[in-house]
Amino acid sequence: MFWHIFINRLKILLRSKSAIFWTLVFPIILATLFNLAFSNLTSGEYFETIDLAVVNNDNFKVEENFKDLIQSLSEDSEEQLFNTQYVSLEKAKTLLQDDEISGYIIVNDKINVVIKNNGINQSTIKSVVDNYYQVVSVINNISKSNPEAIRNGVLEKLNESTSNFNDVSNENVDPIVVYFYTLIGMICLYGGTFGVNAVIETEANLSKKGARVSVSPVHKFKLLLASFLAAIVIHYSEVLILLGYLLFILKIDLGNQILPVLLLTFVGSLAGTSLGTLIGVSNKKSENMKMSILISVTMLFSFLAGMMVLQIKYIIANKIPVLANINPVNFITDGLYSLYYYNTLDRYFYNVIGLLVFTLVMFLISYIFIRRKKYDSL
Amino acid sequence: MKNIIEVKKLTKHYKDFKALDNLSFEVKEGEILGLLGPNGSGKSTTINCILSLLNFDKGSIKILGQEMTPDAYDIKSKIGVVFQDVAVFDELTVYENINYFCGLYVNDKKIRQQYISDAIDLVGLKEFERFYPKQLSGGLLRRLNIACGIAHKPSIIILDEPTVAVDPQSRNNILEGIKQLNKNGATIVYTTHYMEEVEILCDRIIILDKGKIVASGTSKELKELVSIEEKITVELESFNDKFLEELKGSKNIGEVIYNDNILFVTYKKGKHNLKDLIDFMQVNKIKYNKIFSELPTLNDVFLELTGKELRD
Ligand SMILES: Nc1ncnc2c1ncn2[C@@H]1O[C@H](COP(=O)(O)OP(=O)(O)OP(=O)(O)O)[C@@H](O)[C@H]1O
Ligand SMILES: [Mg+2]
Repeated sequence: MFWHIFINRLKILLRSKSAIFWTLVFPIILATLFNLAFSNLTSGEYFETIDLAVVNNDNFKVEENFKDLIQSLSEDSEEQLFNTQYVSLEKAKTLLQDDEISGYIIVNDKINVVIKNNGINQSTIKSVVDNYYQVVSVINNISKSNPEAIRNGVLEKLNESTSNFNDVSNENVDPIVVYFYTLIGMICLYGGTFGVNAVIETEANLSKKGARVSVSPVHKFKLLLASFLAAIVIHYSEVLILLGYLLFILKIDLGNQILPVLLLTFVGSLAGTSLGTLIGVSNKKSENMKMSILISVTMLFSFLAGMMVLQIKYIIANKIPVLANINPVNFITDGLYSLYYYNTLDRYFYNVIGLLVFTLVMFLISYIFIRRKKYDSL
Repeated sequence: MKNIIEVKKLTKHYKDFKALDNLSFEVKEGEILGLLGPNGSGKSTTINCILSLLNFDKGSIKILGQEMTPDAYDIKSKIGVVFQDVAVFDELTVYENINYFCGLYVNDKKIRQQYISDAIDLVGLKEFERFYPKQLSGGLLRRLNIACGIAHKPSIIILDEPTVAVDPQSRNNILEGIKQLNKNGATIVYTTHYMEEVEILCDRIIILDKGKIVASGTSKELKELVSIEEKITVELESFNDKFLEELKGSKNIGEVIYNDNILFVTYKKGKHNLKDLIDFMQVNKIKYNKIFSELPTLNDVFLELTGKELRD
């Protein structure tokens, strides 16, 4: 019975032209347009170096390795990352205030990065510092357990990591990629289309078909489960097709950690379905109306995550952090971004968990409506 | 005979609007029960309450002796429902639609195939098996809707106005099909606002108006409720007011209407009314072209009980 429903739901969804258009064809068109627009924009325009200040205090002077690192990243070359000024704390503050620099670094007992707002430049600075710490802690560990190692190529290691920064940053830091991240986020939420559809066609008070299946001897949750499973299979396949299109046709670089990308988009697809479920089940508006609501909400989330204007993402993150922390598109964008720019998965998992919580909350609220089996009116 | 469905003192409000008012009736094993009522009389509401889709304020509903609830799956598996509105998947073909709905009741594939082909034969959609609903005419779509509701061979079948806006050919096909299902042993509840249909089809009729039962019984029993014996229509060459007054004064006369050479007379209970009228015309040398007599219809029953026409 379960498979009977599942297989037929697959058939129905695969044949619903308008749903497939919105969830697959439309995003591909959008991605292609993005790509066209941005390839014009980036060609010729080389990556800008980041204006940085370092507070030239005693602590900094003592932190030899860090000093070397910053210097090597600030060397005038093809791969220059920072345009660094070594200044006093007061001067650094003024520079930041006047937006002359993206941020400054001050070494106290720890190395601190001070920034005014969030952005790619700012994250790059942070990631350099994070990276440095990681290497340092590796060195410390090695030196504690095996002091010999210090002599053998610790500095080499540091150098390696220096060139690593060059790799990650200079060649690949590309603000345009973030636009594609929000596009992926948006597509995940379009999974809601199938969520809307699944509940409408199960609830007796939302459609005639719902009434028909409700009088059958199939338990409602079995029906819903089979429908959701079909919805997710179809939608996630679409997401995979789209990721393939971005990676292999448009050659968008999504980093080299493909498994986490797949997990994140899968959870994103669940989040989309859950959002659609709530929009579908919580009111008696027409199916078209519900689809419009879903698309509007998705667009809004995408906009707030920086889809049209990248700056919005950072303004939201700074001024209304709550909004960034409930926005599923932002979780997806930020998760992809963190996979790309950070070496640790902490921030990535924060986003995955954020999405799971979002999904759970959507499903829980939907459950209040779904658990009804008799209605006051049909 | 066993009661298959028992509705007791059913009352249902939509907000402040009382849609069903203390409704009680039962459906007996093997019968075709007609629920006849004008638009908005509460037919669909009654059915949706019986099916446990709607909350109601008071009353009880038992099916096969058991309280009907949304979780009464063993009861649900024995019921087939054809809702008033067509509910099929545009993405599935005729065959696939019937298969999908039938599969919610019948697990075994072999048996299901047989059932589907029986249903397709019953509604006469064999040539259209591979068609999508969008390619079907209104009448054929209704037939598909019925096939989807009854393919699993339920022992109780509930149909809510299955012939609304259907061409005569499809209507006949549908009515024949329902008779067939009943012959095969199904108990049937049939709602409609077409009195001709209940007369042809139903063993027993319940007349609903404004959420209340105004009368029930066989078609014959219902007709005995009215005071009219027969209605006689005469096509005349000429007529005058003197005759009209005289006729109105004759015995057994209910209503007399004269308009454009057509005389329309209703007679109350009594014998040889037609003969009396013909005698009256002969005595007065009134010439006529045609004369015919009709028995009262359910519409007359409804008119007399509620003061309004069944169909507006
Ligand atoms: N969801 C609802 N909310 C408010 N009133 C309703 C609702 N559904 C039906 N009604 C009212 O309840 C009454 C009975 O409706 P119902 O649909 O049961 O009638 P019906 O006999 O099936 O009519 P029809 O022949 O038009 O199908 C009508 O007056 C209708 O306006
Ligand atoms: Mg109705």
